[in-house]
Amino acid sequence: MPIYDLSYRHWDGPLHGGGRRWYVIAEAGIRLLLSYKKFVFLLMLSWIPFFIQAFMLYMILVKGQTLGFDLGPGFFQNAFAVQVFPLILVTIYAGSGLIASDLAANALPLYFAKPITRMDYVLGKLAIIGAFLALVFLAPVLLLFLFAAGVSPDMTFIRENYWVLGSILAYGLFVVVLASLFILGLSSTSRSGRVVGVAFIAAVIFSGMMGNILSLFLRNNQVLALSLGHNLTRLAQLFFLEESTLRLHWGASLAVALLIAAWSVWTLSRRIRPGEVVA
Amino acid sequence: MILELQNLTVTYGRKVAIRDLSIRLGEGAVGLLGPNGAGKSTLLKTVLGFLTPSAGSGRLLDMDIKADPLAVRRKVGYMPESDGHIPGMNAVSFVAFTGELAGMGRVDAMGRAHEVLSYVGLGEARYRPVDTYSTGMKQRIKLAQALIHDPKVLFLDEPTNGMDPKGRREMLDLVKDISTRKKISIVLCSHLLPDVEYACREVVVLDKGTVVTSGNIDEMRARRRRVYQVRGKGDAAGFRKVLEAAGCKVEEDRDRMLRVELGEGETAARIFAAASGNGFQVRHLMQLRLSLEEVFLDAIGAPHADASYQVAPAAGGDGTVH
Repeated sequence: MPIYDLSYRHWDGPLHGGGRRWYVIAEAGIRLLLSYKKFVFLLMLSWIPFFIQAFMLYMILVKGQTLGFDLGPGFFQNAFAVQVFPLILVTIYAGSGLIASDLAANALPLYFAKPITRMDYVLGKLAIIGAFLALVFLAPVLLLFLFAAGVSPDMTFIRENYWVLGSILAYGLFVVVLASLFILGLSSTSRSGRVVGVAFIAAVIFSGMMGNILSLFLRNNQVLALSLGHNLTRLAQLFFLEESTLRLHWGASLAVALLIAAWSVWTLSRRIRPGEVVA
Repeated sequence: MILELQNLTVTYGRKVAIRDLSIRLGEGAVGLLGPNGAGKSTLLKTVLGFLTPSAGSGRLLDMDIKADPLAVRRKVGYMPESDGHIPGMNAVSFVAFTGELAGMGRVDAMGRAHEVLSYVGLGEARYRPVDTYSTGMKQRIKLAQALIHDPKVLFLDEPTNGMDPKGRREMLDLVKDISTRKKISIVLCSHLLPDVEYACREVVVLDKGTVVTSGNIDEMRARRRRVYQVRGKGDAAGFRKVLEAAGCKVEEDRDRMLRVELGEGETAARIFAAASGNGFQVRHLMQLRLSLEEVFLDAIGAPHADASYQVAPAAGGDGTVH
């Protein structure tokens, strides 16, 4: 009897339904990324600003020191601005290869040979990058707010800033979803994660440069809508009910953000196909 | 019946890849043969729901392939033609992951992954990253991931691509074992005739998106032409002339053996009759069998570059009459 006869048995256990499939993809992707020490180190570095700002909050609220700024929505808006750099790094590290490497390894037919849909696949990938971006962008600012509320000696901080919690959640999720969609859309256009990473950096840097140059040249601040960074800043001001320092209409910034999201969804729907065209 | 397709048409833009195709495949191992571009892979992808047919219908294990592709994939294991893996995973994690995608629990999937990896001969290499596997190992792991959820039907698309002769034989043995002893039906898509001949009992020959012939391989060989190898003593020229006059095709090979191809409905008695009428003493008579290649080339209407024959094992003997 050949030896392989000893090792194959029919399977008669249960197969779960469709609601769990995206989660399987997300869980496996998150576990895989967390197995890279460099990535875990990057995640830890991303939290350094949190500890500095938490210390500042402690000095203001507990020790009563004034550090040259008011403790209001602007503080938390600024905390988001500080987290933009880690957001970019994590987006590139975790997101650029999410689909590109599957394309390079011809993995899509393997995924779709199982009972999963394209939506399951995209949701799973979105959950991977979204979880890490939420961890480095939304979570530190959210924790800062909760920390401030916790160490505050009286109810003044909470009474005056309770609505900021909603702003933090709304803006944080908005940016996380937008960045996740954008990097996934880019990732589906190439078989190389490096190319995707470079394209993402180029989109961030060159859009900012172009916005600045054109606004100076044309003396019109509305062209700052070409800049991803300026749009995020303008939308942050909108979410935190701060006065605009850019003289850029929030509607233009929102339109650009929605355009990016729409392009990403369109690209994903075109590129994520199980059966490659052979003719 | 595992698969039934009716008037299926699949197009890529303007190009018709499958044209009005109707087939019924029974249980066991069925070979899907055809030259490149015949529509073999397209057919598998359509049944799996990767491609939407522009016309026609199909049922796999009594499930509608258009209405419920996810239910179909729950019952099918698919080994794609191209090398593929999930980047960054070792073999056992990869196979277990595909099991989870099929709906298995994590613990069950992991246990089963170990089993199927041992079955396909990768037990020793199960903790190696798949990226470092050789071509032959990648073929085996694709088979393992196709088997993980114990499908009722396996679709194997060129399973021996890139394998050395030993690995190829082992893979075909596995395919044979799966279909015969494990009772999993197999659709083996290949352009390698010996692979299909070795592992399958039935064959469907496709060309330009349509079925050109199908059936049991042995019967297909037999129902074509009957060919005999003849050697004897006496008036070979006269013997040959009589046979040719009777509509047989006669050729002489380098060893001065005659190869006699009988006409439709003729039997070996025709050879003996021709010999007796010419005083030709038949000292060796052996029925030859057409290779599947001949059947295939006949079916797609391609010229035979070099007719290859095999000795046919006749009932109750080795096919040789002395």
